[in-house]
Amino acid sequence: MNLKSVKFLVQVLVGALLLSMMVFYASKVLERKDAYNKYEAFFREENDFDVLFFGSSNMQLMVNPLQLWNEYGITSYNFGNTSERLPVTYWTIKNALEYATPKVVVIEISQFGQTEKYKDMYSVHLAWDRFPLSPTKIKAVYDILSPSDPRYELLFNLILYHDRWKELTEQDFSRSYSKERGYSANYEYIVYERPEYKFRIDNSATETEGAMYLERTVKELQEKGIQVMFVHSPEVNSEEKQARINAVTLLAQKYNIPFIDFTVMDDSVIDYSTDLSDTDHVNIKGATKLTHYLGEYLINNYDLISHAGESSYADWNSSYEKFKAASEGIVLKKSE
Amino acid sequence: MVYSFPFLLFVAVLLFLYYFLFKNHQWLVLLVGSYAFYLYADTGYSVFLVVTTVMTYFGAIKLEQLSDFQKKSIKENKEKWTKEEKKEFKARISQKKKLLLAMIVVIAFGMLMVFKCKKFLPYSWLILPLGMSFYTFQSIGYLVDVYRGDIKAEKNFLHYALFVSYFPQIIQGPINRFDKLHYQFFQRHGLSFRQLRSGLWLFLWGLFKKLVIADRLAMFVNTVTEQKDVPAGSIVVVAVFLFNIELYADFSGGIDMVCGISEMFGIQLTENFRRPFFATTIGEYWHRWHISLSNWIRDYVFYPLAFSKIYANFSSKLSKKNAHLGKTIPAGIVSVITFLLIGLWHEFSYAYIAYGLWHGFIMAGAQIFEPLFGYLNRLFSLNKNSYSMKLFGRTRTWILISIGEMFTFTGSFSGFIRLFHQIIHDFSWYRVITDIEMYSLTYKDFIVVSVGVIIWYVVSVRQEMGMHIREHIAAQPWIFRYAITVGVIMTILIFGIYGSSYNAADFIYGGF
Repeated sequence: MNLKSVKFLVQVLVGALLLSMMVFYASKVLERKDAYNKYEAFFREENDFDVLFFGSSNMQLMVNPLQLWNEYGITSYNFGNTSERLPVTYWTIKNALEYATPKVVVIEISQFGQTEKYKDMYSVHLAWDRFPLSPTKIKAVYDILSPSDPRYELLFNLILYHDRWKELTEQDFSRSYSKERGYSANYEYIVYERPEYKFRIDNSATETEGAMYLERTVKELQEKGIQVMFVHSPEVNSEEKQARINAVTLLAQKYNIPFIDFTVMDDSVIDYSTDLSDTDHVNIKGATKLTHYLGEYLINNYDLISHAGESSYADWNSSYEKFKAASEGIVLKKSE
Repeated sequence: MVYSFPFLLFVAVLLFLYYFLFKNHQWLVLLVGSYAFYLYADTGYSVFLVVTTVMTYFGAIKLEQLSDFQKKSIKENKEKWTKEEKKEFKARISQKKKLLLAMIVVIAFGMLMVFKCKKFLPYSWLILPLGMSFYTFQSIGYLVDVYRGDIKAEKNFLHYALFVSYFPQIIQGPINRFDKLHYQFFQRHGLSFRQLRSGLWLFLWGLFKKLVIADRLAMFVNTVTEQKDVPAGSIVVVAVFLFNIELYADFSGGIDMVCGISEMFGIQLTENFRRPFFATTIGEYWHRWHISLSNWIRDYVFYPLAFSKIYANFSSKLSKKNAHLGKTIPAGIVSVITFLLIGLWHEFSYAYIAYGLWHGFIMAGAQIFEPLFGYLNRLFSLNKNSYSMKLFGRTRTWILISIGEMFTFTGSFSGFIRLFHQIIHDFSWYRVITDIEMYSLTYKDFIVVSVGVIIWYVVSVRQEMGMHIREHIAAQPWIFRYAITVGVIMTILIFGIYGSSYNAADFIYGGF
C-alpha cells in the first residue's frame, strides 16, 4: 500500500469516526429520557444483582428495591414497565441477563391471557431503548414487531427521536438519572372493597402467545440455573380476568414454581381501602407492605445473603437515604 | 418512500457487484438490479413495463426493417421503376411505418391513459405503476427517433430493456434519450473514488432538499389544503408561495438523488433543472424546469405540429392579412396544444387542464402581444437588461407560475375555486402572523426552512454564475470536505422529516 492510499484510508476512517461520534452524541441528546432515567442505574451498577423483577406497571409500582436493600441487604432491580405484555417481558429478561446474573427472577403475571405481543410502541421503546444494540436486541425486535412496524426505530432510535430538537430542555443535556432502581412510587389512593372470587380456570388463557412466551421464559431461566417465581399484584378484577390469571397455576405446577397471587390469597397483605391508587396498581403504602412480604419470602426460601455493610454497596445506602428523605411525610392524596 | 434504508443497502450491494465482482458485465448487473428493484417496488404492475419494452423493441426493429426494405428496393429497382412508381412505393412504405408507429403509440399511451384518467373511469382504485409516465415517454421517444432514422434500432433485447428500466431514472425521470444514455451502459466503468464521492454529494444535496425543505413545507401546505374550515386568504397565499418552493425542492431534490446514484455507477443522466426561478419569462422557465419533458414535448409534439402542412397553410393565409399575426397566432395555438398536453401528462383532470391552458395562453399571449410590450418598454425607457427589470421579470414569472400551481395544489379544480374565494373574500392579512403555527409547522420549523432555502439560494446564485459547486468543494482541504459532508448528513438526520412520527411524503412527481 503506497503513502497516498494510507493517507486516503486515514481520511476516510477519521471522517467515519467523526460522523459516528456525532450521530452517537445526537442520539443521546435527542432521545426521550424516560428509559435512560429508569434503567441507567442498572447499567451503572458495579455489583451483580440478587433478584430481578419483571412485568407490567403492576410490578413497577409494587416492589421497591431500595426497601429490600434496607431491610434484607439484597440487591435487586425493578424492570416493571407500563403495559408490557409477556412476549416483550421474555425479551426484556433475555436482554437484562446479558448484563447481570441474578439468583432469582420474579415475574408479575397480570398480563397473562393477553393475546397481542405488545400493546403499543411507546411501551416497547420504554422497555428496550436503554439496552445497547446487540444481537439479542435485534432478535427481540424482529421477533416482536411485524415487518410493517417501525423496527429500525427500536434499533436506531434517532429515527424516532430526531424531531425532539424542537423540545430540548436543559435536562436533555444532563446525565442525571433515577437511583430508585426501577421502582416508581404513587402517592394517591382510592377506596376499594376487596372482591371475592369463585376459583375458576380459563383454559383458553394457556393457549395465548403470552402464555407460550412465559413458558419459554421459565424453561430458559431454569436451564441457566436461575430460580423463577410468579407473583400477581393485588387488583380489583373481573371474574373473567381472574379466571385467566388462575390459569398460571397450571404452568407454576408444571415447572414447580412458587406463585403468590396477592389478589386471591387468604390473608390480604394490603388494605384495599387505603393501599391502591387504581384497580390495578398499589400506591407507596401498598408497595411498602408487598415489598416487605416478598423480601421475607425471598430471604427465607432462596439462597440470598445480605450485603449490608460491604463497602462496594455504599451507593445503595445513600440511594435509600435519599429516597426515604424524599418520600417520608408525604400524605397520600385521595383520588376519585 | 422509495429511498429507504433497504434501498440504500441495495445500491451499496449493486455498487459492489458492479465494480468488483462483475467488472466485465456491468450492464448486466444494472439490468438485473433494475428489474429486481422494479419487481420489489411494484410487482403487480411490472407487466406494463415488460409490455412497453417488448412492444417498442419489436416496433423499432420492424420500422427499421421497413426503412431498409424501402432503401434496398429503390436501389435494386433504380432503373426499372418510373418516378411515379418510386413515389407510390415510398408512400406505401411510409404509410405502413406510420400505421405501425401510430398503433404502438396508441397502445402505449392508451395504457398510460387508463391510469391517468382513472378519475373519470370506474377504476379509481387503480394506482399508477411506478415510473410509467417516464418509461412510456422514454420508449416512445426512442421509437420516433428510429422512425425518423435519427438512430439505429437496438437489436439486443436485453440491452434495450436496460435503457427502459434503468432503476435510478424509473422512479421519477428524467426522461432520457437513447443516443445520450444507451452507449454509457456498455462503456467500462472503473472504480473512481472521486466519482463515487461526487455522486454521494449530489445524492445528499437532493436528500437535504427533499427531507429538510420539501417534506417540512408539505406538512404546512397539506394542512392548509385539507382543512375543512377554510383558512384565511392570506394563509392560502402563503401556502401557494410555499407550495412552489416545496414542489421545486421535492422534484429537483429527487432528480439530484437519482442523478447522484447514477453518477456512482458512472452513468450521467440528462439535466432536468437549471434554476427555473431565475427565469424572467414563462418561456425561459420552461427551458429551465423539467427540461427533459419540455424537450420531449418540443421534439415530438411541437415541431411536428409547427412543421405540418395545416400549420403552414394557416400561417400563410393569416400572413396575407397581418404578417405578425400570421406568425404568432398559429405558433400560439400550437403552444396552447403542447402545454395542454404537458398538463395532461401530469393527470387527466380539470385542474391540470386549467394548469396547461394557463401556461399555454401565457406563452401564446407573450408572442402575440410582443410588439405591445416592446412599445411600452420604449415608451417608459425601460432597459430589459437592467437588474431591476430582471428582478421584475423573475417576480412576475414567480407570480404567474404560482397562479398556475394554484389550480393543482388542492388536487381538484373545486378546491382551487374554494381557496380562490378565500383570497378574494376573506384575505385577513394579519392571520399570517396570528395563525401561522396552526398548520402543522412551528416557528422553529419555519426557521429551519428559511435557513435551508437561503443556503439553497446562495448555491443557486453561484451555479448561475457558472461555478461547479462539487468541483469547488473537491478542491478544498480534506478536513473541510469531510466537515461539509458530515455536516450535511447530520443536518438531514436531525432536521429531516422521516420516521414514524411523520408520514414521510412520497415524491410528488413519482405520482405523475
